[in-house]
Amino acid sequence: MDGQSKLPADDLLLEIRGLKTHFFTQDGVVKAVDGIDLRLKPEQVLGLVGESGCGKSVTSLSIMRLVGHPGRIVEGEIFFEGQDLLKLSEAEMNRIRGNRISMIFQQPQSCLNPVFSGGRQVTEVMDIHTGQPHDLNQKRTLELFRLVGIPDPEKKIKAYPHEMSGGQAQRVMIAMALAMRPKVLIADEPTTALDVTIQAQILDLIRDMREQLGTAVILITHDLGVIAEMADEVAVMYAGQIVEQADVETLFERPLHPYTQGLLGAIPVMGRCAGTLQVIPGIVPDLVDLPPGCRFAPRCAQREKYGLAICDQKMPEMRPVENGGVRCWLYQSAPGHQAPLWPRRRNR
Amino acid sequence: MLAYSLRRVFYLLITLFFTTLLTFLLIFASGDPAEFLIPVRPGQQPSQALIAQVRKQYGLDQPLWVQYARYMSNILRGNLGNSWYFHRPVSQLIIERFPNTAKLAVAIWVVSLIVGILLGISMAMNKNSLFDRTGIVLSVILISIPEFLIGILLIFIFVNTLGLFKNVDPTQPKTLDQFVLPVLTVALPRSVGYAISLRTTMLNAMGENYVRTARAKGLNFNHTVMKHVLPNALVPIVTMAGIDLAYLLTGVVIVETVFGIPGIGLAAVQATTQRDLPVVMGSVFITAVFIGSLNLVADLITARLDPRIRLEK
Amino acid sequence: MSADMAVSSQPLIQVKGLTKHFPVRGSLLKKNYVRAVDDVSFTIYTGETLGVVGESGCGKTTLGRMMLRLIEPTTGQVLFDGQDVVSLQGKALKTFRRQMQAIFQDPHGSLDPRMPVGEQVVEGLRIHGIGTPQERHERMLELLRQVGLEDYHAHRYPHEFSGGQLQRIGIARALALRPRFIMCDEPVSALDVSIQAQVLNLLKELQGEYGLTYMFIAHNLNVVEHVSDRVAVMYLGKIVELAGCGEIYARPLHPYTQALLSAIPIPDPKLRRRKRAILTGDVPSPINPPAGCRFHPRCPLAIDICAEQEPMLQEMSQDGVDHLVACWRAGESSFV
Repeated sequence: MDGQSKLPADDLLLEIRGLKTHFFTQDGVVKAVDGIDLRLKPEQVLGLVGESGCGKSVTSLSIMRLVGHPGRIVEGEIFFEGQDLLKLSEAEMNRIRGNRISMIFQQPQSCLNPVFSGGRQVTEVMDIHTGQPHDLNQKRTLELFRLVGIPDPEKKIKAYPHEMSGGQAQRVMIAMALAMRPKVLIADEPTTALDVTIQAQILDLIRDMREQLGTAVILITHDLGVIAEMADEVAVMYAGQIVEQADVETLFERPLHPYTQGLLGAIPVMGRCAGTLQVIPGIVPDLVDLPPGCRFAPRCAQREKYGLAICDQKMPEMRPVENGGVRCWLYQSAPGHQAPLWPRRRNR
Repeated sequence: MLAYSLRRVFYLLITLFFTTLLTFLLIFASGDPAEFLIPVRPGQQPSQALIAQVRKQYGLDQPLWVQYARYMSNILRGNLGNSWYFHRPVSQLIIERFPNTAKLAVAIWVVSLIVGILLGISMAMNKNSLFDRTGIVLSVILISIPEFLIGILLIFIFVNTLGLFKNVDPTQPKTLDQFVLPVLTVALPRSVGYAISLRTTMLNAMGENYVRTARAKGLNFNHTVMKHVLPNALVPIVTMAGIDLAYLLTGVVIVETVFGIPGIGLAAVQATTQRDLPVVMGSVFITAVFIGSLNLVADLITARLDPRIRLEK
Repeated sequence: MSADMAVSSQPLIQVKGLTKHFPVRGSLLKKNYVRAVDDVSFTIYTGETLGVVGESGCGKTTLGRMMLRLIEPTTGQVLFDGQDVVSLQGKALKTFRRQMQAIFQDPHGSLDPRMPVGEQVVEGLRIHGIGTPQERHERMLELLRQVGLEDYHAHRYPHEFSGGQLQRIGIARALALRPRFIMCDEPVSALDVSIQAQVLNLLKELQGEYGLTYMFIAHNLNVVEHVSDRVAVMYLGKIVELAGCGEIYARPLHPYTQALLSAIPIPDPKLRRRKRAILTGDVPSPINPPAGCRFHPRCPLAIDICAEQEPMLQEMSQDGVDHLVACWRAGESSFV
């Protein structure tokens, strides 16, 4: 977590350092992603969780360098397989997309071209990246359809997107994404628009594929339940920054950051029938007009409880804690401020 | 697909029926055709007896529905009647005039489509560039100027100023030269019309999720546009093109007038002012058949391109 | 959860045999129907929150709208305080509308973008001719304050608010006519988790204060279970299980309910490796539902009779707790 070394660590598959992606709109500069660091190990599932507008989707698009106008990556490095992705040419980046790093999205039916069959769109990936003849790729598509559990694959290959259910469409997208056996799969809210029972199927499928193909997954979602089911490590995002990072069990057992605590308390959990839910008052800040200190400060109950002034004045750094980190003045000291808490994760 | 096609053909037949009926009624609503059949000396009113006689002669004294039924049954047997004004069988008139219009129409259509599509793609791919913005302004100007004015302007520029196309005789349609100006006149505003439409449909398609998927697969920008954006964006253009061709084939009257080309449009206008019922009905019928059929073909092509349309009930 | 709340044993609403079939164009000869809701009967008691949960195509939204006659039922009755709502006409219907209100899913879509929100909140009062303009103004401010908004929000337009705030405005609007019953159709599905909690708490608070009865429709079972006294699970137009909230979690008897519960991701990583019941296949279309029990093609416990006869809702109550299930094998082992 020190970020001091110039070279990427050897055992990391993907390393993001200091990424900043801003949107230059007429109303001002929206700092959608404002300085994040992430590390992905091989075959790991990294969960990126946060509510709408926190910057998690923009982060994933930044890795793929698919951020559209008026957005732009203004700073940072993204190391993958020994290269900084942000320094590659567009042609080199095209060789990586769909091939070494793939992505699937929300609302899968709208992610498929309506005038082509599903099978044809999956075959297209292999046509782009392999030198193999088209009919060989078509055979491979059939295998892929079987692999992702689409029933009756010979028929379904010719199906058009509007003839597919949400679950089937997402399976087709997964087949497309995994066709070239990428090292990294980025899944941006893959099950958000799907029914619960279908969601379970798709998550199972992603887990299976990870085991079979050894793909690392960056799973982006707002659903902490999905995170608990799938992730090995979790990064919590708020207003363009990562506020806490930990392995999944630690995060749920001993969340350090008040936002994480608030999120966990706000979920209605089956069987608990808690009565009222814990509430985080207020709303997310305007990303154009950000407060100078901690971005969560205006809504933070702990700040009030401990009467901290520094929260409004200065932005806390990401402080390393065993297996992760937290960005909060509760756990850091500065001149004139004594951290009231010790970020102990486990009882020793 | 078959059911869809058959249903469309059925609708076409119904449309033809109502079109001819309406035209028939309109001709009579605008005045008594008999009046135009009588050669009149200025200042002289034809006598009632004469009018009645003419009416009987041309069968205009029969009840309307009888006349209509008779006319339609003739058409279905291939007999379009005789022109009262041109004093020739209508079918002969059409066969004589139509090729001129057809050559003009097809040329205009092809040129405007090619230029329009190329322009539209370039504008969409270079959105908000100087090229794009100039194109939009130019399009608005060209679409706003009336065709006859464009025609006259072109004549002025090319013939008078540049001295080209001087010896062109439009009644002897043999050489290519005489096509240039008339085609330009109509093709210019049409091509920018296509360009603007295609630009819009392309920009809409480019914002769709499946384009993002294509890029995420590693397809480069240009290929994405050609393979994924264009097929979707062209679908409405195909429909436009179909209607357009039908309209053109049935007589680009203004251009024929300005450049003196003896085409079907000019004939139809002349016939209408003279209440020449057989010619009017004949050209309306042919027009309806053409527009209807071409529209149908365009729709069938569209349904072939876009599988979603076939399922529409 | 309802220990402190007075849920009376008096039925407020009784639904009997409510059905909605939407005609759909089939081939030229055969007429097809989307059997969105098929012969559904249940009771809602005064002061309770009845949760209705199910996946897409189960008919829960259609059901909610039929109860308010926003959609006309094909057949069936909705008895509100003994009076059949379905047969009301004209003025009687209009008067009745004051007693039953609704909150909808899309906070942006359910408000008119060209009207200030304050006006929209009390529009109902104006339509029913209640109160002078001055009184309506007072009531508008009172309502806004009640849902946690400020006076100055009254003359702002919908686009100036966040999703959570808009939903509060929707709630204020539903309260304006002092209804006895509010149908909530996915009121928090479009909101972030932290905002969701705020709105759910607000709904609960208002229920206690005004003695409201809610029907809470949603697709996520954990949200529904949290706010409801009883929960009805729907599948392809029918209610397959209906029980108290704790009961349905502890003792789900219908295989579909079991699968639904099993599929919900639990925010506790230690429970990750628990045994799960993953349903295969897609949610079928309500146009031609399977014969017999509609769930039987996907049901791991299906036997012969399931394909032939539709099971009715039967009482499977235990220890005095109400529990209705529509399954030939209810009470036998669960498949989880």
